Amino acid sequence: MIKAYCKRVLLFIPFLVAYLLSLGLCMLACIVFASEFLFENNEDSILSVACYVPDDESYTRLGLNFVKQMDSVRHTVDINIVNSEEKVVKLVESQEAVAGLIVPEGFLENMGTKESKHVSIIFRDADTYDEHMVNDLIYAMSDFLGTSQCSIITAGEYAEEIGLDITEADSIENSVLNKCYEYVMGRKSKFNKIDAEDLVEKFEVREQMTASYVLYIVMMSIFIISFFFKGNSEIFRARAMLSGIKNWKLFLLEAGCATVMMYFLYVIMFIALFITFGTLKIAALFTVIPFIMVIALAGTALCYLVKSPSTVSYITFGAGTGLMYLAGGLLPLEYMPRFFQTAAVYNPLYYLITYFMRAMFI
Amino acid sequence: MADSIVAIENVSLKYKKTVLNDVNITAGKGEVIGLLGLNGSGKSTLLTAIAGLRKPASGVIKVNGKAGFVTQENALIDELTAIDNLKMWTPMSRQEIIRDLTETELSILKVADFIDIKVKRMSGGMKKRLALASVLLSKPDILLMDEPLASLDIPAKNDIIDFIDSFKNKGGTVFVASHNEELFKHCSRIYLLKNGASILLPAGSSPAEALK
Repeated sequence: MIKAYCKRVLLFIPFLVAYLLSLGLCMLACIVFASEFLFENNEDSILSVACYVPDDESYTRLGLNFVKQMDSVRHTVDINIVNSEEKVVKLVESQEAVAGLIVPEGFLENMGTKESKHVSIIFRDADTYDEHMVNDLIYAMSDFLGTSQCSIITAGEYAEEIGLDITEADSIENSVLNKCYEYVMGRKSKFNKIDAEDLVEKFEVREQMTASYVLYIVMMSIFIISFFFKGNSEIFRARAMLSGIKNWKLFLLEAGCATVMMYFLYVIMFIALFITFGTLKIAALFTVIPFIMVIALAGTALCYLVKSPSTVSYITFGAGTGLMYLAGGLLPLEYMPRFFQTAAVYNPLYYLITYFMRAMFI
Repeated sequence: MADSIVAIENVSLKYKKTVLNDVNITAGKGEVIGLLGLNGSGKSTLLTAIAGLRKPASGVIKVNGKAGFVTQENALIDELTAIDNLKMWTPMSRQEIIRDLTETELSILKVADFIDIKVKRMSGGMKKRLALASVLLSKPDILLMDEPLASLDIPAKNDIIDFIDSFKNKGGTVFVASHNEELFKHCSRIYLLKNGASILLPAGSSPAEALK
């Protein structure tokens, strides 16, 4: 019986490889070209700035959204608010944004205090800080200044409204204007220049690819287990029992075969990622074994519990694919609506991706 | 009772609800026992109990010999060839298996003709022959067959009936659950399972009539 099962494993492997490659290529294409379909280009904009604002900076986010919609801004600057720091880096690196702004947590709260935080500006390596300052950033900042000017006028009008002398109102207006200039120019010192290269190293596409392949392997693993369903059927077990083979031995044999096949898939994925990135931890080839064994045992047990192979398929391809998508396995979470990004926190497969990424890279 | 190979004594069987009550059947060497009944009458349940896969709620089933069970659904692995499926259940080598399939009464089943074909490419008749051969390679004394002729063409049916006759003539005992009139002609005795009871049909009576 062991020989027969080994033969089954060997016979199934070419199909696994073909399936792995085809789906893997589809996922790679999806990751690489997703931005083409999901990002809307602002044709009016002269320059594009990617901006990350943390969740706790809701006022800053609100302010930026107002600014984005103002005529003086939207025809000159496309402020692209993204959901992660890594996305900022990606946009800058891919030249979809001339610069990236990363607002730190507690920026607004600590403004004007000793603990004031610095906004980071991300540039491409090829560009110098000065070039940006002259050509792009000052231009962009002048639009922000334009926004401030609107406020200044409103302040002057307000001074008049409360009965102040017109000269005094002008004085206030000029004073505010000057302070605003000072503030904007002073803000320059509040920006840090960060080499994008450092961040790109951290947030490259490899994570998404790893996540996709790992989740794919989990899906395939359950499929592999369902492949052995025939062996789990009542008739087959009865046949084995009559031939003197204990049920637990059959169970372990099937779980063992599933483990081998799953590990084989993992190794293929590992080699593919190693060739692509070359920074994988070899130890990950071994640390994954207990994990795969647990999945194989659980999956084989599932096959014993359900009534038919089609039920196994429903469970794996229905629930599994949905969870895989929601965990960012098929499409990066950054490209998904906000709600799905929040929901990922409650998705066990999301943590599985994190586990694998840490195991393999960090 | 001393010559009985299978003795079913006052057996009651439950499957969700009670399906058989106080069944008494005995079978000796060289006997073919036919089990007749409507769907759900307990034929398959009784066979699984004889095979030892199900415990009776009450009564005793004595089996004096090795039982081989040919189930309605086969236990074959689709992606393996016939020989690989056979080797799963026996320690015999390929040569030994082929010798058994060609030089013993198993030759009636003609399994050697498709020994290297994968199960998924086989017809229903070939699968049934293979399933039967895989059970018989373990040389059982008692053969339990659940609907062995279902969905088979005439040549396949004839081959399996011929095999049952051959097995019987060599002193084997067969229990067969079926709806096939032709097969019942080869039975030593036929029991009608109805309303939980087993009724021995008089020799020469028509199974179809009995079912009415």
